[in-house]
Amino acid sequence: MSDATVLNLVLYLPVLGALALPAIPVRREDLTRALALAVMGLQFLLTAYLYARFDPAVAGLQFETRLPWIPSWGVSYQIGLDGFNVLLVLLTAFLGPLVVAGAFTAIRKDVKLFHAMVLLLQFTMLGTFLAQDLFLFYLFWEAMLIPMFLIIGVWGGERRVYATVKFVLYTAFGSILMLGAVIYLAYAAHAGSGVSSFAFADLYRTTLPVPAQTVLLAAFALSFAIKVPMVPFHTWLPDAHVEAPTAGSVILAGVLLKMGTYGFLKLGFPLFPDATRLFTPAIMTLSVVSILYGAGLALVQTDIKRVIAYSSISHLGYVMLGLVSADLLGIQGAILQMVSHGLTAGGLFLLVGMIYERCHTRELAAYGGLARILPVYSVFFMILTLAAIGLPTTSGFTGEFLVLLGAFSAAWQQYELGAVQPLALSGAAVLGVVLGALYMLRLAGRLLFGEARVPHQPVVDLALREKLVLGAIVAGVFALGLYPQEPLRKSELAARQYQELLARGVGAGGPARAPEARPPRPAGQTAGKTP
Amino acid sequence: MVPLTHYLVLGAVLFVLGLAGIFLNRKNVLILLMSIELMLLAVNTNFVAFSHFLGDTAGQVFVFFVLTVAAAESAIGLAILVVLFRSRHTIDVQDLDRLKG
Amino acid sequence: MSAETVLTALLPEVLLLAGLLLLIGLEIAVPRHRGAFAVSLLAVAAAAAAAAWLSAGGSSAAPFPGHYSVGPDTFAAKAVVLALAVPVLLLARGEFPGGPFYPLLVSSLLGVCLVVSADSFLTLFLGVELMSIPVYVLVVLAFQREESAEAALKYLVLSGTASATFLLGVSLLYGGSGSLALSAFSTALGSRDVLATAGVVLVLSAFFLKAAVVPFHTWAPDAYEAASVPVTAYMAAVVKAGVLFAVLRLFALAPAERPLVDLLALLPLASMVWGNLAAMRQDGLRRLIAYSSIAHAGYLFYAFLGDGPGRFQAVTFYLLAYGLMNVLVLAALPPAGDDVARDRLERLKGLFQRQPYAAWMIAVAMLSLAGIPPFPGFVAKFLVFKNVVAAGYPVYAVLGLVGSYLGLYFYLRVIQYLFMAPPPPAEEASAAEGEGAPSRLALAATVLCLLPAILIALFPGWVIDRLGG
Repeated sequence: MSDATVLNLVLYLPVLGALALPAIPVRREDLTRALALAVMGLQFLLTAYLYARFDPAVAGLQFETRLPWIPSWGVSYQIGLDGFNVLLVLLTAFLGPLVVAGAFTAIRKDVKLFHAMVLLLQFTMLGTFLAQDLFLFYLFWEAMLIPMFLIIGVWGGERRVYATVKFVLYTAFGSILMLGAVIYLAYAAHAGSGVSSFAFADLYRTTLPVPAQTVLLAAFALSFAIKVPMVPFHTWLPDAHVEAPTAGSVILAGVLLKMGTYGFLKLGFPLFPDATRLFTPAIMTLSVVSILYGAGLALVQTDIKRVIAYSSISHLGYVMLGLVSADLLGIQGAILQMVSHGLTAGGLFLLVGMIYERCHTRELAAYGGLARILPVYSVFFMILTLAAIGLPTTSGFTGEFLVLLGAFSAAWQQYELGAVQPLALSGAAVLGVVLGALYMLRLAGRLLFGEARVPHQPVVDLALREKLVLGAIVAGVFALGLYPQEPLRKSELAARQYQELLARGVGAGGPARAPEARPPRPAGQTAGKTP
Repeated sequence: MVPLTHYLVLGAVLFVLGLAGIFLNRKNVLILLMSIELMLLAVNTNFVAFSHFLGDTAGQVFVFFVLTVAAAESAIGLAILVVLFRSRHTIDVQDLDRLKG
Repeated sequence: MSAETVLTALLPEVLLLAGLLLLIGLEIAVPRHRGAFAVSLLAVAAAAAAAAWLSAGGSSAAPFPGHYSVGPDTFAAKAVVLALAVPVLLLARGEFPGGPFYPLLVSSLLGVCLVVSADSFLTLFLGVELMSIPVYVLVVLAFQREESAEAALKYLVLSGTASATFLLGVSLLYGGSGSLALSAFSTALGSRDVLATAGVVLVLSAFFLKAAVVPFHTWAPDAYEAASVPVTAYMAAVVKAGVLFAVLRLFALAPAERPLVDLLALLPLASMVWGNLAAMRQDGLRRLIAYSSIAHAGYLFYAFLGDGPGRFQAVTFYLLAYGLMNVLVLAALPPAGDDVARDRLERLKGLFQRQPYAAWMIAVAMLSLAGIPPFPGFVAKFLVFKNVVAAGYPVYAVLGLVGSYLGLYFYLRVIQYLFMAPPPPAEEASAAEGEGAPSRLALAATVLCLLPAILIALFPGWVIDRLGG
């Protein structure tokens, strides 16, 4: 079977799994879990196969499928892998089985519904990453809301209904404005070129007048910024994370938030280059504010989940900083940081879920000295803490370092032309690294060390299943940290394409950096990054 | 010759009277039904007037259809009124307040 | 024009008429007969099939020139309306084992078919009245609640006023143009003459009332609530469609010009906002659906801001998606001993635990009506707003989208009740005794609504092209 068919199979496997679920008798929860795990596992294997077959030297889409869907509108069913989404697709597929396995003991009621929702959510998330047509993208983007609404609302904590309604309404508001922008963009593209098309490739080629670009980018950016989340559109996240069941939090932090940054990377910025240039200072400021504000708030939380929630806001601020720097290293660092955060935050939420299952509280004050009581648990916790801080040899380091490097080199170029602000902001961002260490070490310290304190005795250390799940995550963290070559290579051409798209447009001069001035390197070499 | 405008004004006045009967009526449901009839008759006047001044019989033909439909509507309205009266024992408009509207 | 051509052109109506005559004949000849349901189902289904087949055939004819004409688009519209009536009939069997319900429904459908093909004000008027008058009776039929008569009367009076207003507008247009042809309306749209503009405004207001657009919407919540469930389904899906097709027929291909455009945009916009906001406060399902249809009437009229050629497609597609979902939710509603209790949203709490299929159907309908992808409602809304933007009204499009966003909450609330809330306590459950699964026919109705919906969701392009004007 061709690779394109395999990609389609990857996308639709969760749907087939969800459709097969009604055949299982309600009482056989074990069969339900087994089926879901098998489906997710198979999906991951196929994705890994495609990842291995992904050729870094080919620019553009690979394993593409393009079928006309609504011909009179120019909408096609077009999916494919490129440097932008290949890592994110791998991340999603990797986390899938881990989420299902992690939830074996946590979800006790409506088990079939839960797994159906998780599978459907997997489908919509993958669809968002794989879609190469704007209508298709929007369809998956919106469709993701409903399974998440149910996951948080049915299996969540005490204030779950409030949290999930807030999540949906907040996100949907951005989406509805984005819908207006999507319609207008397609219309303007049609008016400009005479051809009606929603395909990204065609939309990249349209140039719109700057005022139109500004309005459209504002609409897209609002929707994506709510998703990332960027301050000040972040208020839905802490509640959603706290009230969501563990599996929900892992998916939310691991993948869902990346949809926002992916939106910026794939759509928001490249479609509207002039407006992006105009917005860059503001976005850069907001990114740094997110980094610092998120870190600051994480420092003072008393609920473990909230600490990690705010840390997500902080970590994703780095991603935005990298994207908006338009520096090759910064962009690649941003992509890497997306994956790294997915792993570390996902892993940390899994850990929180495990301790919550045992002791039924997320209060930081209720725990202490777990290193002696739950040694295996503590080891995993410490590893992921250090990864979140960005210790070299972990994935957290590579992403963060490249982002800061990119931000600084872009800022320095502007400093030479007289603009001080980017440099100051980049400097402030470094402060975020320090704060990151502070709050994570505070969390780990309170939890793992000091006087032993557990709300519930006796507590059992990790079961084999839990160890396997966490082990997989830790393996991913170290793989990315020690061998970032491969992922960097695979995303390099996409990063260059992103730069080119940003550089075009009406006014490509001024303080914005010129298209990448360094000579294109032969694939396989990116200077100064191999640890 | 009575000028066209006179007929139109008559039609308009009758129509407004009918409308007023619907919205200002507080007493009797039958008045609602009568007001609808009045409005339809007002429109008929318009049609006949236009038909005459345009020399086109289509308008007058239309009037026949309107009369028929008006009759059917009244019949139905009265039937519903009977059902209403049987259950509520009143045809006072103000007593019809069960629904919040 | 040979008899054969006329008969073919009128085939759907002929089948309906034959069914109607058979029903009346049976009623007279065989007292207490039980065949009403079967006869009417057969007639309507046959008419729907005939209309679909004729639409695919692509033939046009004008059996009564100047008054009545048919073409692929009119056949498609009739097919849509008649197809929507089939699940309504299935749903009605439980409430109405026999009696006047069936002839009234078939007559009303006949009226809708007249409307869709109308070329003159005469045919349009007759069609609209033939559609509406049986519905006044249908609202009070079954008499499950005392308020039915009051609601029916309110509906009759307001709708009668609308008819009179419509006729007043027609008389002015007739006076201005000298003919009863429908084209007088589209010509008057562009003219600056006082009489013509007055005529247009009057006619449009009349249809706004019949479609329940703000501020003429007050009859709808009462009528929808007090009527029995099948009749509510019929009103929401078919009568709304009939009214919209009437307006489509009137506008023909003419563009909406300023200042009329503002009237055409602002009142529907107000409908969207008001309908969606008011729906949030309802605790009865049928009232909720009423306010939701008030909002949807807003989206439907928005389609008239778009350019002429695309209007028919947009409106018909929207009516199909919207109609299917409204019938679906009412068909899936579990029966209860008491009509009032059946309606209460509280009863839906925890329905997923008791009747998962019904809960899924209601959830799917709610999501589609809210316009969430990948359900049909999303594509329908997209089409409407796409046309509005293409016609050059981006601001109205954005306002409309925000208006539609306001509706999200109450649709979500229903889903929240279905899946997230614990079932109502035992005392309440016994009060609403008689709750059972929906009857087999109602289940069949849900399947009939679901399958086309899936088709639309998977192949929207194909469906839209089929409906192309």
